[in-house]
Amino acid sequence: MSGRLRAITAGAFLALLASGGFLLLHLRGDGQTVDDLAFVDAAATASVTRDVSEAVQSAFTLDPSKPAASTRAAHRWLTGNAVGEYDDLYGPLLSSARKEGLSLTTTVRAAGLTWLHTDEARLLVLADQTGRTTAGQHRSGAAQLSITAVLVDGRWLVTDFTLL
Amino acid sequence: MNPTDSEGRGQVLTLDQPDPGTHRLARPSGEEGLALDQVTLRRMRVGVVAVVLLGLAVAALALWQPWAGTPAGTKASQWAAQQRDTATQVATEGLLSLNTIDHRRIGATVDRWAGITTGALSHDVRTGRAEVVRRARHDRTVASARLVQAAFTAFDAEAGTATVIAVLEISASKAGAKPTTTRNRFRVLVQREGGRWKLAYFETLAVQQ
Repeated sequence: MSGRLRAITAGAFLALLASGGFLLLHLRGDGQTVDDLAFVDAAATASVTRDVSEAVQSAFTLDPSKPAASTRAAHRWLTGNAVGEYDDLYGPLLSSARKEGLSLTTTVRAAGLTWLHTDEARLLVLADQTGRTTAGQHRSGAAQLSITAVLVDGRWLVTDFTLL
Repeated sequence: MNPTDSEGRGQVLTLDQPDPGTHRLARPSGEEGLALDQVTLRRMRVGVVAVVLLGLAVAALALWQPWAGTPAGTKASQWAAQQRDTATQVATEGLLSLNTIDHRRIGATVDRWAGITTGALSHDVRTGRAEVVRRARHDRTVASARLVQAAFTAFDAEAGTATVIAVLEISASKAGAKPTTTRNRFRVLVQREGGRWKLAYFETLAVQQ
């Protein structure tokens, strides 16, 4: 009887240990909520894609008849490092737009999510750009942008961008 | 009698045998403290049953998971995220594969393409095989690709479809031409088929004039 009782106690103890471990694993598994919310959180996916597309299209388009529009869009949509990056890249173009009537149209062909966290996201934006001078010359090219966006007061702002 | 065994089992056995009525747990020598009467035995049984029940309760709780409180279940999200990650892996690896060419192993290359594609794309790969092989051998094409960045533009976990855009850096060389390195952008559609994700469509996104 002693042996059988000991075996039962040991078995019960093992069962308890096993179920405890199982419980812990499950608790830990649940703690690991999905890190990347891209297309898991549909609302955030839609808003970040919409905001960043709008940001790229408006800030990277230069209309010589309203040069302030691009700067306004840049102020509205860019923050952090992106402000300086924009000034470096677009400063000369903005002055060309004012002085020489250069126009630059940026059209977003596709904008996708590389990853999405609660308040930060990485996007890939594929755009076409067409530049025109007053002399009528024009040139088109492809622009690929890697963009980091942050959620500020319910709006996604571009905090970093890199031309790929 | 074995002297090393004199205190233990040997003695128990010899004493047990003449009186089968004595409870075997009531060891007469050396272990008096462990001698159990029926009451202690019952208590122990109750204890064992309690431990077993507790174990079962914990296991049931672990299965039920009342604390997994998010609506529609975190499980569904986790599954969707897992599907998404597999889809992007298949899409990017597929794109790299379709842009990696070695004329010395072109037969195996095209066979690999056939394995990772489905639908019309798979059909194109199979029917175009001879021409692709002929041209790669003629041009002595060698091409390799590196992923710069990829992103989802659409994903439906339930339907098993995803659209991925990507920028690839492709280095290519052909006989009699300078090697080139270009950045190309692609759009690829991947579909889940019988649990496996495959490339259903792909295009380069050239500048629209």
